[in-house]
Amino acid sequence: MSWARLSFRLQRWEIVFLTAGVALLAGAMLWYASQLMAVVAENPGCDPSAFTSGCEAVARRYDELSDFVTQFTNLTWAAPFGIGLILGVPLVAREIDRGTTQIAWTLSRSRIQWLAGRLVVPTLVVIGLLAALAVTSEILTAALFPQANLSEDFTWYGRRGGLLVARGLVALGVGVLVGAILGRLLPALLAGTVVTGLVFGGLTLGMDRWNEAEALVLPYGRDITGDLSLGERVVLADGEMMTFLEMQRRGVGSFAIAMDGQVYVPPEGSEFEGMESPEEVGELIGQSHVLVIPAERYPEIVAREAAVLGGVAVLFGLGSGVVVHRRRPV
Amino acid sequence: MLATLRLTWRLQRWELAILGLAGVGLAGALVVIAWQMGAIQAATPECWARDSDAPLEASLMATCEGPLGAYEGWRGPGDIASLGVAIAPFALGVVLGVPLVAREIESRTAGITWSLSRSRLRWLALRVLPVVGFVLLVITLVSLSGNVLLTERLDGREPGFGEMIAPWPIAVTRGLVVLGIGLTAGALLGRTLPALLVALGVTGALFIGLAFAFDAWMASEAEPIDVGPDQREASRIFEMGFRDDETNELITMNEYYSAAGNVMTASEPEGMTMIAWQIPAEEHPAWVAREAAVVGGVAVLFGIGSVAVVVRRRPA
Repeated sequence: MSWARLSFRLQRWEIVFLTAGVALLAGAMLWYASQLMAVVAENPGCDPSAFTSGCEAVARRYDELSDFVTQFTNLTWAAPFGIGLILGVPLVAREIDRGTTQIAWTLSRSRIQWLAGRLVVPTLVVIGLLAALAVTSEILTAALFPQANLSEDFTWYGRRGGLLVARGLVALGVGVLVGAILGRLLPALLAGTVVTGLVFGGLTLGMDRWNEAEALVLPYGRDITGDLSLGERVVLADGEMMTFLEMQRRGVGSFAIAMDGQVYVPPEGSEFEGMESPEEVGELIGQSHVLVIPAERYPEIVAREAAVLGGVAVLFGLGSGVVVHRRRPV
Repeated sequence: MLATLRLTWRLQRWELAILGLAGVGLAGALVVIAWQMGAIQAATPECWARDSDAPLEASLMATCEGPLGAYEGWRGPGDIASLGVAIAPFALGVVLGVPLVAREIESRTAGITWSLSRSRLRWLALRVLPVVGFVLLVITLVSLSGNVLLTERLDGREPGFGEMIAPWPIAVTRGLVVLGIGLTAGALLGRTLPALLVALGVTGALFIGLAFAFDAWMASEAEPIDVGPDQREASRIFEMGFRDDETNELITMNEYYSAAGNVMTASEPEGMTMIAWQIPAEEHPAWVAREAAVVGGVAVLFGIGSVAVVVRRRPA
């Protein structure tokens, strides 16, 4: 276990600071969760999310707490990227930066074995810290939405639960790879931040397209609480489906959507007047719809995204192995 | 002088190059976005001569729908670029400030360089001043470009409270204070990455504290002013309330509705005039000066702190 102790010693400051930060954040989240639960428990007759007569003070308190809770979810969203990069980048970069790789790589049986040994502790720390945030964010979300069954609900998707851990592992992989390529700590941290942004931007776009391909097309106005909403579409009378932007590109520049989601265009050569009813003067061309993944598919979608992220993390790990195996130690 | 600049460049060339390129890129993006938004408005002036909340007149709909959509399309990139302007002073300060001393201690070159210098103070000044110049230059470039976009978006109105793009004096002093924090943390800890984390934590804590302190200061000077048609969005509102038209008695909206037990409505209760405890937008420049002075003072304190640490600490 001397390799594990060495690995911890090399990154002890980062591990200590990150652990302290996560403990603070998790503690604050649990405190706010307890406050929200108390507001609900002390006022059983009130719906705290609505300003109803006699419940204004409850709603106001709940509103104040919700504002802070939203800030916490922003932090839990950002935490995987920060923790992954801070632990991943220095893993190889610091050794190259200080010129100690020559000795370390010469003394190891193989560079790959050296890298694997170095990776164990930070990987466990990433998993441990983000698992703690994943659990506390679930507790906080449950406190804010007491009526929701969060095991089948996309509310705050990606800001709670196991996806935080999977994202952290990808960021760790990005950090290790970029650090191994550049071999300088601070520049690698900057470059790693940019690469992480690009990687997750691409992954988000890819997962959105995948989800859209499997989404249900529901008429506008249906209750989609808890579902994963993937945007609006217009289904034309001939069954063709398109976005509003695509409709405008086809030359339908002026249209109106009625309260029931039906889409009308004005008579040729004219425009809708300000307050007139589009149903009376316009021509019906289609119906507005929403693309959704139903709430009951939440566990499956999370597992699928986590698997994709896990695969990407492994790819970055393999890439780091190749770089470490081939690069010069300075 | 040239040798000092060359040494600074060689020691921090990666950070300077990455941040310099990012700064120039951001400034260019801000100017292009502002130029595009301005060009759209200039090409269709009839579409903009109205209250932005009012519905478009039917006769203008066909002409204006495209330009309005195109203008809205530039808003998203504009918001992201504005966020970049807000983050720039913090990123520049922390990334350039931390390694100035920490890297020398970490790579064990501080012992040699401090011995070879006439004094540690002189050594620190020669290391810090070129970086301060660089930070000032990039923040000024980014801030001025940000103001080009802000001016375009405000469409002739004066900037007020609540804008994401901070005025130049505040942006500059923020950059300097974060540079000071990074420098002090790096000199104290003598390790780059831990110092970076500490500097980020201290920066976060300091600016959250300053935000609360300024809020309290402003709230103590806020005055109850009628919310009329001339009420400007750019004012800083702390509390809404009502003035009794007969007695001139003031009551906050929360107190009023708690006492009345009614659900909130958009209209004013009979016999009451809606007021807001606020700092009017006209006082914005004075508050900018106050904030810049306070933040600048904190920057000086951190500068003195870093000098004290470098002069006293062991080089390893």
